[in-house]
Amino acid sequence: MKLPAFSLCVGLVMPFTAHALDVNSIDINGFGSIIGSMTSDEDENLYGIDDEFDFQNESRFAVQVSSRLSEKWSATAQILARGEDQYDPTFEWAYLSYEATSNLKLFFGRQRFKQYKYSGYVDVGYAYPWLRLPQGVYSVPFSSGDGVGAAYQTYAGDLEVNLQYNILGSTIDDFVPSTGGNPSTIDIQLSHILSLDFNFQQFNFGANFAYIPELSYDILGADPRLQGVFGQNQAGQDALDGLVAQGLISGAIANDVRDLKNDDIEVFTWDLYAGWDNGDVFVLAEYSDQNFSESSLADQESWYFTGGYRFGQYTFHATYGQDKNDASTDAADQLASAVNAAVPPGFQPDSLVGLVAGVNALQNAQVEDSEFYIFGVRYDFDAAVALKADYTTVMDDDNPQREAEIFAVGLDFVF
Amino acid sequence: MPSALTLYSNGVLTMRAIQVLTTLCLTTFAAVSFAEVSVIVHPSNSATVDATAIERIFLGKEKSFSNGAKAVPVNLESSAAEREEFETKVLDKSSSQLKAYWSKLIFTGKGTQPSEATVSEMIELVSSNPNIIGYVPSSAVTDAVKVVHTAQ
Repeated sequence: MKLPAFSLCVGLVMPFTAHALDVNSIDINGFGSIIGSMTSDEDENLYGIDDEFDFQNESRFAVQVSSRLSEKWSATAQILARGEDQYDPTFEWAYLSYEATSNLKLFFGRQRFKQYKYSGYVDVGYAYPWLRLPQGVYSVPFSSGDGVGAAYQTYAGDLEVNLQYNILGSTIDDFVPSTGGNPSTIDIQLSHILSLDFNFQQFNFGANFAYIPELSYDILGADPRLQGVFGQNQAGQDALDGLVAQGLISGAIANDVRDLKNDDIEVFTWDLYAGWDNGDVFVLAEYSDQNFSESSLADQESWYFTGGYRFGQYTFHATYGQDKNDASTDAADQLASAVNAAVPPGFQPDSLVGLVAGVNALQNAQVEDSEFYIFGVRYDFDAAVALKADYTTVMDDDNPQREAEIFAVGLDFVF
Repeated sequence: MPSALTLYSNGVLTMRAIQVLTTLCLTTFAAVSFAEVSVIVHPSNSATVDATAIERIFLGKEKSFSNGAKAVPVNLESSAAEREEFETKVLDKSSSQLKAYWSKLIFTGKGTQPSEATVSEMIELVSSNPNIIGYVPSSAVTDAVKVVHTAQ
């Protein structure tokens, strides 16, 4: 709901100045998605969805309040409540903005990490055709951060240029990795995110780059299998130290293994996308790549290609994509071969076996090589409400547990 | 106006009936699809306001007129037929596409949707403020405003 009446009244009653239309007005906007989803089989559990039809898991509701404080300054807060969090509200955005020029806007406070094309409005289902964005790309934990940002927009002839630069840090205390585990804390030091977006006639293309100098992640809390390796039980640590002391493995391998604790990871992600949309037909491809320095978090490579056709109030769309996760370290392989070379299998003490198994499990848990299809329809049956239905099928040759067929139906709305 | 029943004479559509039907069809068609929309600014606004400039200003991409003055777009109320006319003809987008477009900008802090006004408010606003750009049905245009573009 916008409140133009008030601001217009101000304008009509007072001598009408250029800014009277905006100053002192409060805009209340919001969006939401009511989505019901289920998998096709009781063995299938993906994105938190299982074979019980459920309206809570993917539904969400947000309210944004924005007030212009003066000609140049505005304050905005966006409060989002997710069904999966029992509608416990959180501030996704909370910032002061300053319009330095008509082309340049500065942001101070809580903002989104814009790592991908849709990152800024990932939860605004109304703004895209799917019910659920392709999860290979859009399942990253760092959604919002605190810091500063600058957005610059200009034209070079017919080419519209948008540049955005953010420096953001963040702490997330309930991250669950895609490979499963307990909620755990991720801490991201001030990171640099650069986004470029271009529009030229019916083409839209761009790139996003993010550099996180230090990410720490409490893997011990997330993955109990590692308690034996790094936990309070010193057996794993002692076994590792013993291997080094006896010259059976190099200090470098031992360090790689210790690095799996994830307390000092350097992350670089980049993303490219290109699309074309003539109003009736649209196509879009996006490719993303995430690299972690040696850690227990997997390097990830994801892409998708989507296309659709708008037919009156209906949009039909289809998407194909692949997600490939590789271990960001070969510490487990190196450790296993060094241990086996030093002590024949069968003669290894339990502490060594536990160490190798724990590290190996951690490395293998990261690996993913999946592909997916999404078929869906969107029906804009009312001014600000869209009814959508999606079918998603995910196939993973390496890990049948991550395969699933998901049916979803829902309403996306904005106000 | 003759009722539908009197248009038939012994089951045959008379010439008179055809004329009436044709007139009715044309009138209805004209009212629904061919209402001309005029984009208006203050008479003192000397900026070049072409179709591209209008599109950019109403999509929040351009915030100034060609002469450097601040440009403040105002929409007709969403219930006005000319609003849709303007959106499809000038902005080349359906109302739901525009809603999706604006939701991207609003919820990422990049922009705010233009305010809304009735036709009479629009004439009042534009005629009293050189920064405002709006649009009205061409039949509502008065001497107090300057037409820079028409779409039909």
